[in-house]
Amino acid sequence: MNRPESLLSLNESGSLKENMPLFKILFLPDKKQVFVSEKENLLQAARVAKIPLKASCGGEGVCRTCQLKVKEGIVRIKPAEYQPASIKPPGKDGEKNSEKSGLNIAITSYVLACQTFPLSDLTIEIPEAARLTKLQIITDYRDDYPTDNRDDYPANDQDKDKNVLLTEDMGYSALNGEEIISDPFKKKYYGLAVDLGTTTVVAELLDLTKGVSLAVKGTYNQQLSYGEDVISRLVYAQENENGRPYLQEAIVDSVNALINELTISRQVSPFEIRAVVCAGNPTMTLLFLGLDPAGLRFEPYTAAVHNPPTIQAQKAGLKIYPRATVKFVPGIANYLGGDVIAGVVATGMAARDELTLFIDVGTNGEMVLGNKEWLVACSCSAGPAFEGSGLKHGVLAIPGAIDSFKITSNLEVKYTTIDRLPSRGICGSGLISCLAGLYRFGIIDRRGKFNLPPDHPRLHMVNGEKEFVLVWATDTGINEDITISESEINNLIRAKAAVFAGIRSLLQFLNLSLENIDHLILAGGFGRYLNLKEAVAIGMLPDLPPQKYRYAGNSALKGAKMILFSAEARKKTLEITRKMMYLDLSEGNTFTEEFLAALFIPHTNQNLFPSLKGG
Amino acid sequence: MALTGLEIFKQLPQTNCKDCAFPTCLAFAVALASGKVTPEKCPHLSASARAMLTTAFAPPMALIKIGPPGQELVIGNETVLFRHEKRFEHAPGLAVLIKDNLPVAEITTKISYLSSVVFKRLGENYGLDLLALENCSGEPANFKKMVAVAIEKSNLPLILMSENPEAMAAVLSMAAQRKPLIYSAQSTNYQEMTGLAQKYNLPLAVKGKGLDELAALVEKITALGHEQLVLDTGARETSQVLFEQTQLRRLALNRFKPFGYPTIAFALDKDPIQSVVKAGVFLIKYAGIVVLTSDHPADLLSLITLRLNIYSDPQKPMAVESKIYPVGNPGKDAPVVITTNFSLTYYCVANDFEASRIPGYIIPVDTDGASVLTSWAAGKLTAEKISEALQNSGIAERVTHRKVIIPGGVAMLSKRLTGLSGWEVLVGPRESSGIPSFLKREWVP
Amino acid sequence: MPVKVIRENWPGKVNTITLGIGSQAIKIGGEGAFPFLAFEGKLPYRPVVACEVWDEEPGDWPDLLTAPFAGVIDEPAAWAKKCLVYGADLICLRLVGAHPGAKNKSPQECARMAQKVYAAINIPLIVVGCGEDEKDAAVLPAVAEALAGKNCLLGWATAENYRPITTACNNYGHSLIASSPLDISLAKQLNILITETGFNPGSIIIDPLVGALGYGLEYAYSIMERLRLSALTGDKMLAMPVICFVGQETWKTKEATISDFECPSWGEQARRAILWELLTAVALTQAGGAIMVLRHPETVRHFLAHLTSFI
Ligand code: SF4
Ligand code: FES
Repeated sequence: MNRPESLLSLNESGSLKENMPLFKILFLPDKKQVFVSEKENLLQAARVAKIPLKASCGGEGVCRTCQLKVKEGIVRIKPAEYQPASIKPPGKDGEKNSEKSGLNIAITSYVLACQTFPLSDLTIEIPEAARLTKLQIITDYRDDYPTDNRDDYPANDQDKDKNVLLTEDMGYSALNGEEIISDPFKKKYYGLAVDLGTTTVVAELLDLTKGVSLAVKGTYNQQLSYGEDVISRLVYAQENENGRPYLQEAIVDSVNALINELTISRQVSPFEIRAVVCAGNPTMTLLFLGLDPAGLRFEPYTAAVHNPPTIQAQKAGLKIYPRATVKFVPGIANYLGGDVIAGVVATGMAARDELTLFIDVGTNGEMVLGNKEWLVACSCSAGPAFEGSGLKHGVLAIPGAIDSFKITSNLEVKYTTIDRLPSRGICGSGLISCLAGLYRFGIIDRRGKFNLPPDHPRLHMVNGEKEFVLVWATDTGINEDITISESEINNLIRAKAAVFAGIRSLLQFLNLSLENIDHLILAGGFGRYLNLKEAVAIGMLPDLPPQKYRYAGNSALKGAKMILFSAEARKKTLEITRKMMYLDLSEGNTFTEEFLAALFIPHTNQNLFPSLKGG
Repeated sequence: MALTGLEIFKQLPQTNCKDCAFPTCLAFAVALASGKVTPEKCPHLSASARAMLTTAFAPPMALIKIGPPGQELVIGNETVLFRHEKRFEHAPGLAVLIKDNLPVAEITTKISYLSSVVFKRLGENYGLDLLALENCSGEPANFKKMVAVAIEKSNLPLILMSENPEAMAAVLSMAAQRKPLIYSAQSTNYQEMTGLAQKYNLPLAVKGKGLDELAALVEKITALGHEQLVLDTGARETSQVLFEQTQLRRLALNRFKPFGYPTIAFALDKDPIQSVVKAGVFLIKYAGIVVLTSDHPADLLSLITLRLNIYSDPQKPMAVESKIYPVGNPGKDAPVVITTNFSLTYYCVANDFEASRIPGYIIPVDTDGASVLTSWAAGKLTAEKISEALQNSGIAERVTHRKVIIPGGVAMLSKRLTGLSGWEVLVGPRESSGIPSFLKREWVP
Repeated sequence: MPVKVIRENWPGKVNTITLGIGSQAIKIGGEGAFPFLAFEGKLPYRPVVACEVWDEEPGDWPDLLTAPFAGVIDEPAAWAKKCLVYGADLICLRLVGAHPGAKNKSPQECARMAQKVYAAINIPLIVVGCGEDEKDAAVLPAVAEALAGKNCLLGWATAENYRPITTACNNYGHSLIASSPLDISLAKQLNILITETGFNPGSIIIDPLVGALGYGLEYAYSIMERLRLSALTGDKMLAMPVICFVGQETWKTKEATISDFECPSWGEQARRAILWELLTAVALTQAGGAIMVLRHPETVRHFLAHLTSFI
């Protein structure tokens, strides 16, 4: 699925301008070089160069995450009102500029990649802050919840029992029968379980004949440079003529990159991969398949996701055995996809008597409540706050990400980072920790408003907004103050409120209360570094005894793996989709009311948090 | 005690066959628990489950219809004391009292006028529901004349008011097919009145002096086999009516059988304004029919509006109408701000906009009452929708510029919106609290 | 057949608040039952009426509304006195002129005005700012100081500006109006925030930002019923009495302002507008409102007459 070279001069609306001069764009420090016309902005140029950039707003010029530095050359900047403050008006520094009608010509300056077009050959420097890749994704989700209950969960996880050999039934299931029969002497069958996430893509290489896992790798979903959340991708797919193929290519490329890494690391031939099971949310599933996702947003909301087709690898663009089957875990609703179903399979909650609440806090907060008799699911858009985006100093859980804070009573801020590297930003668990700390020491009030004297040294006014300095520039690995602003705090409070309100709405729907929950399972990369106490202290997770909490790691991947390994799991998956009911939170007023009540630290109704009383 | 969804679920076949038009048995169970469906919608119930659920979900208050099919007023079936618990099911009927001691000409004009009153609100027409015709002259002949006029001049359902069974029998011989409400059976005449109601199969108002007598009377009438009843405790003083109406409703919800019917209350006062006030109180607090004496259009308009407010469904997302809302006295160069029609969103925007003291226009786009981000996610706030709202609202005639401010949360729509509408799009703040400073900073027409 | 009436036993009640001092003081709140259901709980004080007086002559009031104040409408102290004649229990002075977009009067100027009006009436005074959070945060502390010890009611404290206003009310012994839009959680949150600054929750009055008849009245109605229910079931952070700015909402509706001539089928404006304000107040009183802030003297008269029907 490589983009043919001729596409380089296509602009995004797809029209090929003949004879349009092409400019050479050199990206530093990557030293990658591409040719584009004056009709293509630098964000597009970076995509061509396969350098994924942050572009949270998908190139609308409003999020300011795509700032690059023009080192050499002349560019045209779209006359937009939303340029970052750091852009100097043309001519300010006495640098050469010419006036074309309505154009700003700027050189040697920070620009928004999505609003900037070449007028000459360019040398561009990509600051770390604008970059998505080069960062290692944490994939070893098998660590348990970092409290005392470290027992693995669920007990029937395949990983526990690495000696299980592939039974005939399993092989049959995974390879669709036909393959084994037609090629009975072949020794090696590998499979690939894939978690197609909105932000990250994780794949696990499996030896199907031995029933063991060989390696896991993760990477960013390259679609990130088309917008950070599902909705912006959907919009991109709809509003741009080649939107769908671009997005499809981005995600398929991401998986291929993983296949490449995995097979090299275990010295396996990609062509020995005979079966793939993907678990993704509905949008990712549709975009991977190149299908029209319009039905996800617009009535009548029909979508192929409820039972996505099985296709062959070559059709999917995966560089493995061409006729390998690529299956998708089915979903049940437009906002509840195979990733969650796979998670439910992995946790085994649908087989238990006790009441389990399963929460996957990602870009969307999806949750499933139930037991062996019934299952109800919902999805509340928590927003991407916990994945670090939408915040100036938010990052994914990368090495160097701040994952916890300790604020002392004299407002000194201490913190820890992942892998103890110099801090680069704050990841989801760090944000929760930050919010808990800011509140505990009265730096913010229960609504998240700063409550400090205006001349406090850690309080800055930036663009008319209060920001609190968490880490001084000199202590960071990025050489700028790491801050959090009032509106960012507001975003976090909304995100945590959405999660809690989702939980309450689900329970209320069935007339249950928090005490009825026997197990609460957290899934997703988010939970890995989470401090449970702090998540409860801000009112994101219910105030239940810690022994009720479990951490399931990347349950989507685990579920996909189980489905790949066992026909039994496949059968259960279908049962689960049949049994599960989807609760649309936008119907009625319950969610809205619960949400407003949760926009408070920890909650408007403090009786819901008995352990925090008096604190 | 009401059954919960899970308790009901245990009684269901759990096959998720979807024959009830719900995706799963659980969805059906919860819908049943909240009164959105009735048990028989599941064709696969076991006999015992059916019996159990049917009794559990029998409404605590009877449904009563007054008037000919197609034009009838439907009241009763109420299930709550406070509208926020669920909703008030059936708006009470408003009736105007007409006495038969007036000259016929006057009666005729009055009836014609009352039958023609129409007010338009939120795109719907509302008017009076009933005519209450009172035989206060005591003369059956007058009564008959008045009823004859009403039958001829009006399509409204009728309340026939006389304590005299003969007078009642006489008018019923010509009015029965209009399915009027017979007012009233009292301790002195209940046998005859019940007989009439049964003969013509009509609803019957029962009037007792106070709760005790009323309950006793109802038991006697139901023992005679008539179940279409409307209750009147006889009280006319505001505080007594309020007390008794509250008790009637509470006891009905407690399944005290004799009070399981809708009620009728009379708003009578020497002072015409005070009688409207009384009617307002009775509308809110639990009457199924409110009878007033005044026929002034302002009285009817305000009471009809009050009734619409209180009897709206609080479970529906709170939404405002999608149209132009001016803030202050905007001129031709005033800013135009887009938001969604979720009330809370709209009110926040309106408040913050007002606080800026910059006059302008707000256009809430119809998003079925969803907030900005929710509706964006659900595709209900799209460039198409905004463009449509700009066009249909007629804002183009109110301002000379072509600039529209959209919420910061949906910045991504700007390009497409410009393309569709031809309006220049300014991306406003994400939070409504940012509106004043945004307008001060950025607004130049 | 004796019917066993249902009597709820409510564990909680609404806070009682005293406004004003000495013999002129007024008490509100204290209810231990739903409005007018005295058979199951104490309802010690009747709802009260406050009349609105502006520090600036209102530019956009219809003639119907300015006529009763002819000659005094540009003289707040005299206007306030006139309201007493019309039966007001208290006066609500509104500092419209403080708004930065209007006259942008200084906090001191506003404070002097409040003092002057208070001196003229000597009954409990409500003072509300111009509605712009930031300006109110500057104006109300000055007013609080000028009226020190007079036990007035000041507003509006919102989630944005509650700190300085709370501090001032605390220091100078006033009650305050906590105002949040149409949601019970938002109201409770603000009460908690205010209380956590050390303010006595017994001196808070809730303003749920009511809507007029036909304009969202039902939202406020249900929120107020829920507030009362919360108070009666013992939620201390929702046990505050409620103030309803009825006049302000009513007199921007079409129904109250449009003339007979423009819409004859709606009946005379004089009757229609009064009914609009009156029914809004009556409905909100049924939902548990304690202070009705009204504008037209006729409304005041009818409203007070209506209340006597419960005695
Ligand atoms: S019809 Fe009955 S059995 Fe079938 S899904 Fe509905 S409730 Fe379940
Ligand atoms: S500003 Fe958002 S991508 Fe460029």
